[in-house]
Amino acid sequence: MKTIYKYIGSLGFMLIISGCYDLEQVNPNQLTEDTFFLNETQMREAAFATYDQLQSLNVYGQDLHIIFSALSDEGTNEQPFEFNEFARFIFSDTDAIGNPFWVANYAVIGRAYQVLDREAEFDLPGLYGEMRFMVALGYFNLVGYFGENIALVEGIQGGLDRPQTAEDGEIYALMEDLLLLAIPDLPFASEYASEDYGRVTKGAAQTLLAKIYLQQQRFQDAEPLLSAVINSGEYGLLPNFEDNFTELGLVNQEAVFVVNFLEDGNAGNTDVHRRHQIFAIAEEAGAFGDIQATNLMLNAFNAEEAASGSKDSRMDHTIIHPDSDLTYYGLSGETWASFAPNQELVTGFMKYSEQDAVGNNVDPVSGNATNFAVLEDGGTDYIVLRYADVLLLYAEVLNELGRTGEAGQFVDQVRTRAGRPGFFDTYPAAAGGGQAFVDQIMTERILELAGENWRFFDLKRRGMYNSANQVNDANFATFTDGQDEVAPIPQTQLDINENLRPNQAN
Amino acid sequence: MTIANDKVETTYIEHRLNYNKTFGKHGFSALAAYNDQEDTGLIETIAYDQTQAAFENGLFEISAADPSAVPILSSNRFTRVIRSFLGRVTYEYDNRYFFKASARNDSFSGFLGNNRDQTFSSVDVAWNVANESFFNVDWISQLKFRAAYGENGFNEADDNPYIFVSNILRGTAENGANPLFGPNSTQATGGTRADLGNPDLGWATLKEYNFGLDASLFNGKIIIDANYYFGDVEGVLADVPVPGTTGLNDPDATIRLNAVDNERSGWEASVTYRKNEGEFQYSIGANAFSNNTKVVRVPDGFTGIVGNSITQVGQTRAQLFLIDYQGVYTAEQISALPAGFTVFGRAPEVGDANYVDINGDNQINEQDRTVVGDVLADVEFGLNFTANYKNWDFTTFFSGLVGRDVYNGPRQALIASIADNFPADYNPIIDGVGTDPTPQASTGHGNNQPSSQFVEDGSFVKLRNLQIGYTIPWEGVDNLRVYLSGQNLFTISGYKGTDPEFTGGFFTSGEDNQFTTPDGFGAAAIGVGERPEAFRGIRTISFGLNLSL
Repeated sequence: MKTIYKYIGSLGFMLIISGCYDLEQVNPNQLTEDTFFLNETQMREAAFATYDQLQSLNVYGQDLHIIFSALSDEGTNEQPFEFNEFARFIFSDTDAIGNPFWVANYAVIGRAYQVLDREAEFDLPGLYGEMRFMVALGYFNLVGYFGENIALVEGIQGGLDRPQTAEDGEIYALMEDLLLLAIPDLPFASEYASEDYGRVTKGAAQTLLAKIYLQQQRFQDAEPLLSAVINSGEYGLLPNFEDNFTELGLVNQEAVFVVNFLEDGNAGNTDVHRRHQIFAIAEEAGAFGDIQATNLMLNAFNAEEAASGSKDSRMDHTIIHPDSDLTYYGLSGETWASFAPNQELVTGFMKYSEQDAVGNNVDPVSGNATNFAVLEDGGTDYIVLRYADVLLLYAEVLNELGRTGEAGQFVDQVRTRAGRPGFFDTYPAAAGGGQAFVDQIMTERILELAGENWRFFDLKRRGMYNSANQVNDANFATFTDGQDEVAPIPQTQLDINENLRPNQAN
Repeated sequence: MTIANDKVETTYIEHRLNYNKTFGKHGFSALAAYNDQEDTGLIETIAYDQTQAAFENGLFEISAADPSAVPILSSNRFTRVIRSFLGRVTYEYDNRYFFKASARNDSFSGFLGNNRDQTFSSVDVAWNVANESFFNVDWISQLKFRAAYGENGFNEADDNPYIFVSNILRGTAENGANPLFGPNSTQATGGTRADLGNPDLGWATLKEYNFGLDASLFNGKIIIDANYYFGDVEGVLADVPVPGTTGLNDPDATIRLNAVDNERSGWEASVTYRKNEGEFQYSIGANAFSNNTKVVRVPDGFTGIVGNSITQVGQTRAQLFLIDYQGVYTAEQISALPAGFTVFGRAPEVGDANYVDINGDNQINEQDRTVVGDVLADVEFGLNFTANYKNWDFTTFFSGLVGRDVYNGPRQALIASIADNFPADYNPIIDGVGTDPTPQASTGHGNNQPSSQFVEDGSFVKLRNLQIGYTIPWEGVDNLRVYLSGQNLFTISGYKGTDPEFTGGFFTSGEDNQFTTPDGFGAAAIGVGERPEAFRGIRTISFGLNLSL
């Protein structure tokens, strides 16, 4: 009997202290997908994370500038390093530049869909409008680089999703649908408080949609959008052209959409703008010198001076050149020209070059300014959509619609700020409309917008992105028509996603 | 500088109920057990400003005056619970027939719902032939045959107790998901999914049949142990790469899945010879084992390509998948090429690497990758020898493996980088002289590609341990012994890298990637799970003295 009691006693004790540890555990360290997206504040935070991704080094923080300048006729690389072949359309390593750009832009899209897919839960129409713009912007940059046959993502992706390659037209249709839905819900710029400067406005969505139509030569569809932006009274040109490219600490009425960066950040800061490091005539004075300017800008400014009889005031703020009145990192244009690896190309981009930040770098021993670029000093806000661009696009559209006479005034708004004489007075042939107008407006776009990554899209829009039209850019000697219009889909992505097709450049 | 304080507490409760009964020649036992284990961890770190300026200004100190040197404090805690119920019965008859059956139910807090717990059972039978009355072989003192079927569970998710849910990256200073707004670029808090959890994870299960024998011959002088097994491993937990379209902003992002089912079979054997008499006593032991696996399931939509490896149904895991190098082009070979033939976008020249055009499209590129190596060893083995002679003692242990192909990532990285030195035995063709491909500055050039040129035989033998001791006789002292001991004294291997012994990721286990070159944008161009086990096999030589009074 005693033994039985012992057994019963032991069993009872075992049962009492069984299961004392809880198998249901939640992560105490950070929020998870189950504990986030639960209120409007968190939804806003999720939306803000999408803006953060635009600052990424692989998007507007650095790579986008390399990609669209090197692949157009305004930028090149004359050093024998990593971007030399890239600038010459040799994409032998499909991953090196393409994969980070692919991943980072799909992260813009993915972060936006984390908000959009919860649209039914919270009544935040403006926020969803912002996110629709973000998805469209991510796709716009991806289509620019990879062409239209990229992965079609239309919602939050799980780890097992393997999206299909989009057919021609599908991505454009998606971007258009998103922006058409977004525009009515988005506020005007003036409806935002100044501390929200940088968020997506109605004008930004209209401008992006106009650009998307224009890349498809749909001038008629773009006209009302550009007209709405111009007539909204929300935007205007700054008195000084160059103020767009430095950090002035003000709400810029010329910036239709801007990516904010932190000036004088810490090492490793993800919010810095590294463009000033990569754009220099040569790898000197702390700059990497990954992208050099071609002679496109120099020739355009010289032609403008010849036609108008005066030097364009934008020239020195657009490029550093041997005759510039300005210095670049404290060194003259002539000195920089002597550093140039290719003595045929002795200019560099001046825009966004952070002259002030570089001068702030003080030698710890002597206390003197070093004039030496350091990574973390980047910070100039980058204007993605600029009102001057809207005006020039509108003029281009009016000409296509047979309203050339009305177009001149919009070009002249831009020219007048730069102290230029009237467009049709200086270039009478353009007043006749047609191709003569197009040729001259393309030059106007170089004078105003060079170095702002739009030249690549201009060439594509005007059917000039081919070897026949680009005989002046030596890099196009290795451009293969029918192949190099787009960059190859990254092999890493093809390896992971079996539903993805290689494109013509793979 | 970072100071980390890691504390893991494990509380473990075990109840056991044993019952043993012997009547006559029958032996019976039963066991019931309950285990409950909770691990709670707390990791606290203090990270100081690591810049050179901070060092020069003495800002490593906590009392730093410069606010930029404020140390970053972080802490991380976790709780992980594993619970098991176990039951076992055994029966034996006359020390001749043995039977054992057991079942266990395991639960893990990292798995959810119906996946949390699973029951595993096993049955063993054994027959001790040597104890049979009809068995009368003098020189066989022990002979036992065994057969078993067993199931076992693995929860290889215990490195992440919260693997079931995706985490949100939010609000951590400048490197969080925080954008800037306003004219003065003011930071706003953002939050976004930073990784991918998987709520559907469950136990990986090994189901296996095992047949073996134990024998002892010549009075225990020779001991033999041999096993043969076959079975399935279902739902092996592994990190599978996810496409960039998932939106994580991490080119190396993965999701853990019950990814792969394997069939496996293999054998293991060991033989020991002992001489225990006389002044010179010694024992020699040798063991070897071989494991063959075949993948029978991979996740839907998984191409199997990870890094430079491929995992395909019907094949072994993680085969090397690379373009196939076949030497350098000679002038005759170049002139024989069809018009328009390219190697990674360029027309090849004399001295360039010559690869096999697998798909015959006159373009050498990634589409020409093919299986060029099997990374799982054919046989692994060990050999040990111990001896005593008078006051001397000696032990040594070798081990190694044969039949493993490995990819020498560091060598490829050195050769592909114009900025680094070539390996000493690399003899590139420069001005027409040499045997290996001509150096090229562009990382995308055909000569700089990962290829079978870097696939090597990973077989090796290592001297793991060698020790010689001498016991000094000394009156009044119980034991006084001096010894000289060495670990990892040498490796015999044809491998050109630092160490042929490494384990890569589950899908890249044959890739040695200790050093990788960054890509054009500074991000490391490295596949998933390829982090090596660096600093293995450290050579140690020690001299020691044992004294007891």
